[in-house]
Formats: sequence, C-alpha cells, structure tokens
Amino acid sequence: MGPYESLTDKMEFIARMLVPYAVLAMIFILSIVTVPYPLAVFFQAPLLLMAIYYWSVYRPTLLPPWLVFAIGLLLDLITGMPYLGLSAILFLLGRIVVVDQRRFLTGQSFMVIWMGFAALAALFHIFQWSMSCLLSLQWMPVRDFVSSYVLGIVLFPALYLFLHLSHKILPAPISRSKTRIGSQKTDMTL
Amino acid sequence: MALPPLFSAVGATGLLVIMSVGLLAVSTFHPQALSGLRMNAADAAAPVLNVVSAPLQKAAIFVRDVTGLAALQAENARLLEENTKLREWYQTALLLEAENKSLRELMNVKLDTPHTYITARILSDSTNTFAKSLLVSAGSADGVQKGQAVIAADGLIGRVVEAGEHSARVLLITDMNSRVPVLVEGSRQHAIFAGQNDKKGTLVHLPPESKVSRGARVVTSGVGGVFPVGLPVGVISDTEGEIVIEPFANFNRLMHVRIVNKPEDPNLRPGGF
Repeated sequence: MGPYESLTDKMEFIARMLVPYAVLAMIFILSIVTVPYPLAVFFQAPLLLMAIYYWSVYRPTLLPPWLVFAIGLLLDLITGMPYLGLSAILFLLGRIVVVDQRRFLTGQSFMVIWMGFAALAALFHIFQWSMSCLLSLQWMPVRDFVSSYVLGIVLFPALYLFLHLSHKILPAPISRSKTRIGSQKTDMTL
Repeated sequence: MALPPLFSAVGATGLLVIMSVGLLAVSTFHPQALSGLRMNAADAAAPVLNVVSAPLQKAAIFVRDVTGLAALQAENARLLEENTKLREWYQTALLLEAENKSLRELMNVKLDTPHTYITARILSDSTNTFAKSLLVSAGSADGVQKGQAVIAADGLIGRVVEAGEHSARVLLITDMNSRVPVLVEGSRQHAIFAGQNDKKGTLVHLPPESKVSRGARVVTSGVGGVFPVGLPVGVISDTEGEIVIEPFANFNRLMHVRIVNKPEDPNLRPGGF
C-alpha cells in the first residue's frame, strides 16, 4: 500500500505541498508592498532571489522555470519596472547557474550555502546594475544595489531558516524515495 | 509525443529567457505598448496590497515609537521650539491674509479656483531599483487622472503617470525620467528640476549668467500646466559644479500622499453642436 492512498493522507500531502508556495507568495507580497521606515530596510533585500536560490539547490522541481518566469514578470508588472522582463531574465539565469552547481551545493554545510548565495547575489546585482546602465544609457548610482546586496547577505540566514522549516513540512518525493511524510531527506531528482 | 524542434533545442528555460528578452525589447523601444498590462496587474494586486500594507504600516509605527523614545524626547523639544516660532508666523499670516483679501477686493483680482485633493495610501514602491515610482490606493474611480501632481506633507513628490480603476502609478521627482519646471525663490529664475535616481536631484536649463545661492527654496513654476504654481519642491544644497537640490519630501517615511485634483476652469465649458 502506497504512502498517500487514504483521503486524509492525500489531503495532508496536498496541504504540505502548498506550504512552500504559501511561503513563496508571502515573500513575493513582502517584496512588492510598501513598508515604512524603520522596517523598510529589511524588505530592500533580494528576498525572492533567496527563495529561488534555496529551492533551486534543494528541490528545483518545486520551482520550475515557468514559475520563476511568472514571478519575475509579475514583479516587474506590479512594481512598474520600466524594463519589463528584466527580473524574469535575472531570476531564470540565476536558476540556471544554481541548478548547474547543485550537485556541489547539496549536502554542503550552511556556511558554503551562504557563500554560494553571496556569489550568486553579487553576480545578480552586478548584472542588474550593468543592464540598468545599458538600458538607460547613463551611469546609475550604485548605492541602492550595494545596500540591497549587503542586506541580502546579512538577512540570508533568517530567510534560510524560514524556508528550511517549510522544506521540512514538505512530503518526501515519491519518485525515488520510500520515506514517510515529513522526511527531511534531500531530493536529488530534478 | 515529440517536442517542437525549437523547444527541444533550447529547452524550457531557454525559451522563457528568449520570451523575457522579447518583452524587454518591446518595453524598451515601445514603453507605452505594455502600460495597459502593467496597470491591469497593479489593479488586480491592489486589494491584496491594501490588506497587507495596513498592518505593516501599523507595525512600523509601533517599532518607531518603541525604539525611538530618546529621539522622541529630542523631537518633542524641537517641536515645542518650532511651535513657538510658528505661532508668531501664524499671527503674521492672519494679518497678511486679511490685508491680501482687502487689497484683492480693491484691485478686483480674479483668484484661481482652489485645489481639491484626493488622499491615497501607498501600496507598493519600487524606490530601490531602476525606477522611482509608487503605487497608490486611488484610481480613476476616485477621480485620479494621468498628469496630476502628487504631494506629501513636506512638498511635491511626483505626478501620476498611469491611472487604473482603483490604483495609480506615481513617478517620483527623483526618478531620472522626471522633469519638473521650477522657480528659484528670490532670484525668480526659471529652471528644470531633474531626477537622478538618487535621493537628490539637479537643476538644469538654468541660464549661465543666473546666480543661485545655497539654501534657496525651489518651487514649481507651473510652466507647461502639469504642476500647479508654488508647490514646494526642495532647497539648493550645493552649487559647486552641478546645482543639487534636496527635496523637501522625506521619501523614506511616506505612508499617504495627496493627489492634486485639477480645478475645473470656469472659462472652459463643454462644447458641441
């Protein structure tokens, strides 16, 4: 008998699967909503990039490319980004880089994961700044990009903990693992 | 089932990157082509943002109150001092108002129709990346129209660039695409306030022979008809090289804005035959 055959098991499975998406939706809303001073500083960090990085390392199937594209596009649409599609490109490229390196990253200590995010965020912000200069045909102030990068690195452990908790709630993938609901076994399937 | 050749060659991610590049090209070369889509998305998100932003704003105020007791005491002392000065100014203003009124009556001056305002809450901001803009909680259903000036308690903050039904996008004066016709008080010199995507802006198109000094106030000139005359914009903070203007409005602490409703011109009546 399979692990999710009864109705309650199926309902539990669906509820557990929805938790990371609910967390993602919350992170998305917090990325676009206005939060006044002094809390504003926490929301200037690249929260969505952190979530994309986390799931691309630990379970890329949860965040497929079309969803990353949709997140980037919606972000640009709602925040009134003059260059529509830029966030989608940046997030998709970020996902490609991380998925390519995930065989190295999975199973590493938190410090390595943190350093991995610092490297990805550096590339992300440099590319974002370069594109903004190129598209607007002038040198853009770097202060906002630097503060977003530094905040991202500082706040990464807090969001990592939050995402890790939602990861623990996830049911283990059925395809290759026979582990029970709530297993923390890392999914290596794409 | 076999995948289409293009799809299998570049993969799903590659195809999505190509689509994003296409969107980027369209929005860069034809910015207006996608503005309707942008406003529809903002209108759809507005109710959710409205619900989420209210408790976050309350939490921010609470944290500010709890953590800033020492600052609050200092601010209280400063406000008491300022209040004393303002009371003196209030008496002077009352006298001047009465004097102005009687002089206008004597001269038979036709006064401008007073402005009305639409107050809106800020739902979303993109003030930390490429554009400096805000999404506010009032739209065409509330009387908001494209082109209206937007002010905060301290001074001008921007103008409405897109108006949806229940939300509107405000381009801040600090955005690098923003240009505001201004007047330097004292010298009565006309110029343009240009945003730099930074906290401060610069004064451009100022005649070379004109002399402006640090500390001079800059207000809207009303040239072009977009902004009403006399809205406070900022103060000249540097005159070495570029003339730098520090806006009066504190963009970090904004929660509500006032959209200036254009008064109906009594001289313009609906035509038709």
